[in-house]
Amino acid sequence: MIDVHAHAEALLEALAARGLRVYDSGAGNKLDGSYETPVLPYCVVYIDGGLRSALSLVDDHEEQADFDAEIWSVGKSPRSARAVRSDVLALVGQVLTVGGRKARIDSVFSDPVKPDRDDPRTALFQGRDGVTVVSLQA
Amino acid sequence: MGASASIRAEVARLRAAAVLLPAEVRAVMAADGAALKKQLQSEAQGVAHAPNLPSAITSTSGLRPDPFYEVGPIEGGAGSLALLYYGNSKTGAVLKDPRFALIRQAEETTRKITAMVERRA
Repeated sequence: MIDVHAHAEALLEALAARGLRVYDSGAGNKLDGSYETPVLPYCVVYIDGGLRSALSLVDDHEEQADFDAEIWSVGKSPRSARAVRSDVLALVGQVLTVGGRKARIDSVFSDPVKPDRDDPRTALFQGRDGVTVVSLQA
Repeated sequence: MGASASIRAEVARLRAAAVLLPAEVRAVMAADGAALKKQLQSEAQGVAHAPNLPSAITSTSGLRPDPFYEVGPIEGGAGSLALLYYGNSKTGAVLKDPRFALIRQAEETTRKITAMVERRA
């Protein structure tokens, strides 16, 4: 049995270890489960589109399990959002150790930083990166 | 070969395949477009306030003359819920970005068509 949730936590912690403010499945959702008014700049990680329950679908793979994550890098200015994104992208290609398994972070797609036009009141900038975490037997 | 040159070469191979084996390529595009539709419909299930979104996801495929498939919600009604996919910096997405499924399916399609051409050569 592969503990996919442990892999998700490892991804979140790896981002936090780079000094980033990391929110889980929504701006303001801290990793300890509490909520705060979002503090810029930050990144938000959506595991499997925010529907974590879907992760149970891959729990029974024997050799390999993949799950997808979207990581949004958000800042008040293009420069600050790019700085967050630079740290996020530094994780691509890295291998995390999770419960005796190796979890490789692959890039799937990458959207450069641009204004968040959906909510002009906030005047935020964001970039989006899609990654797949590939968990393999060590 | 650089990444862009590699992509150009891949596109050239696919275009050549559409000319060489149109019926076979059309069949692959139809099957893989249907597979992508099924995947996106599966991912769109379970959203409480958009129960009809999965059935609004359709696919079309063929040669124009390049091979193509297009999969996604029909505009209007349940298909207008694009925010569920894209969200914004505050609310976030509810559904997984469809590019994850599209890129995986496109890689599979490319493998199939490349293998067909190689068998024919």
